[in-house]
Amino acid sequence: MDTQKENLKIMFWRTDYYGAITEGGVASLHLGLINGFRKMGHSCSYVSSGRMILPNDVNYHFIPHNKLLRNFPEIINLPYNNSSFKALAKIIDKEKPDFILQHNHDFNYGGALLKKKIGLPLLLHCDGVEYWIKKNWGKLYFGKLLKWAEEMQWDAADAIFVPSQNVKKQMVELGVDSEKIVVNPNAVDPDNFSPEIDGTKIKAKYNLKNRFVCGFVGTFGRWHGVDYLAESVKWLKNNIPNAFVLFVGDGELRPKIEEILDKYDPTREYSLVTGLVPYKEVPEYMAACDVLLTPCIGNDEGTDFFNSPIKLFEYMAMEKPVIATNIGQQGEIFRDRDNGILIDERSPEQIYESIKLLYEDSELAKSIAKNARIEVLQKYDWRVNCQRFLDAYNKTKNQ
Amino acid sequence: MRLILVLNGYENNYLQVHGFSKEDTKILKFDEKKLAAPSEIIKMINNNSVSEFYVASRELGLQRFKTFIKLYILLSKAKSGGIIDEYGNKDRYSLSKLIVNELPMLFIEILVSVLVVVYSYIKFPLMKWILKKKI
Repeated sequence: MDTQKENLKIMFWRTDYYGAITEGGVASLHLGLINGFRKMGHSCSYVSSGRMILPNDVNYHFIPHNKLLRNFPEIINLPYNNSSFKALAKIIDKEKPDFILQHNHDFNYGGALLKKKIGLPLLLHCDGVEYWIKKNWGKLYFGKLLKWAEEMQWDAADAIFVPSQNVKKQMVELGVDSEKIVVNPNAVDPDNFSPEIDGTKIKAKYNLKNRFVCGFVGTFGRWHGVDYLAESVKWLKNNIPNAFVLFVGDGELRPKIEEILDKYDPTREYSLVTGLVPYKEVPEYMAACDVLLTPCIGNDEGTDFFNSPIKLFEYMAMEKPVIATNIGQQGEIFRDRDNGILIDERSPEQIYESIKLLYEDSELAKSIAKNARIEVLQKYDWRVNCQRFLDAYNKTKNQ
Repeated sequence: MRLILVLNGYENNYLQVHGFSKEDTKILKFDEKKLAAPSEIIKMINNNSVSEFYVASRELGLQRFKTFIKLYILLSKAKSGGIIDEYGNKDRYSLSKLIVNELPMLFIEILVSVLVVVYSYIKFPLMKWILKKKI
């Protein structure tokens, strides 16, 4: 997989204010990449403004945000451009990394500054267009500043990495050179998420022996469509008597999920919400499931779904049959009844029907699960993902 | 009754570390962004007849919006509370501390923020021009 001869020093830079949150999508992405690079023989260091649980051989550098500006979320990012750049320049001087891998964040143009003053190759990871995300999903303050910062970063980066084709499309429409953009879907460590992992302990803990467990693992965010899975309990309990829906995680939709479950399963005989579980235990929870679901939904304003849910690849690596809604990257990765089951979004009925299909046809369940694992090993190992960064770095070096 | 809004971390850790009993404590998972909705929080405190109100976050030193959280306590029917973390640290609400120290600091923060924004509106386009020219 690795065509790189020399051992490189890669510096990760995270500029957002994330407090003490050491789990979640960004942390999984960073850890996945760090471990991928390490497995390929390269070394990594990590610079950020919060806590991070890292392997022992990764040097960690803490650059705090301003202590006075803690009550207005947008403002805190503005002076961080200069203060973090100054601190990082000293770290770079000491560590001498080969390139910077920066996770782009709103109002930050530190990468562009670094590129100009120090000249290190800058590889920029962007989850999406921040201006668009704030405008459509959050609250947009100081829109011009946000737009300018993003444009500076895009201009300066040697390569921009995005999780899906839809994000690339959006950026190209905004004038970013398409040659510069690399689509790099999320991935998984197939050693940590593997069919060898035993779910017996979890089954015993929740009394799930002899139950057909249908699981969702992740944050209950608005685009995860978990509420539609909760709605499907209505049909599941009447038609598959030993079915059980396990919601592993927590998040803003939890009260809504509990409310739906109170309606269809008040005694929780057929369902359960575990709450947050430690990330290291997640593979065991997945192993306890017979089917795993990712019922994501499209954006309310009708634009394309542009996320690349990490859980998708974790599910596939576990060699479990996956039921996914046919939207965005999920529709690109899964082929119906080949490496997954594809269903329409926002349809509890189709969720129920596809679970029933896999319950009744165990051969189909086995074959799609096996195909999914094979595909993960070939295409969605973090090392494949890391290789794309190395290719971009080599291209920059040779220019 | 005690109400704890958990922003991150594990619910049981907070109960254990701070010696709160499960019986008289209501715990709700809460999105940090919603801390910016004062009426919703104050209503939640008042409707639940809460006397003690806490916001729980993994590490006190890294938690934002502390002054606003304390203002919610002041404006609601809760008599005490504050911000707690998983290490047993507590930033307790105190009316005198709020008036003498925290509110003046918030006022200074607002002034500095205005200056930072004005400065940024001058600096960002300038930086954009400089960077474009030299890269």
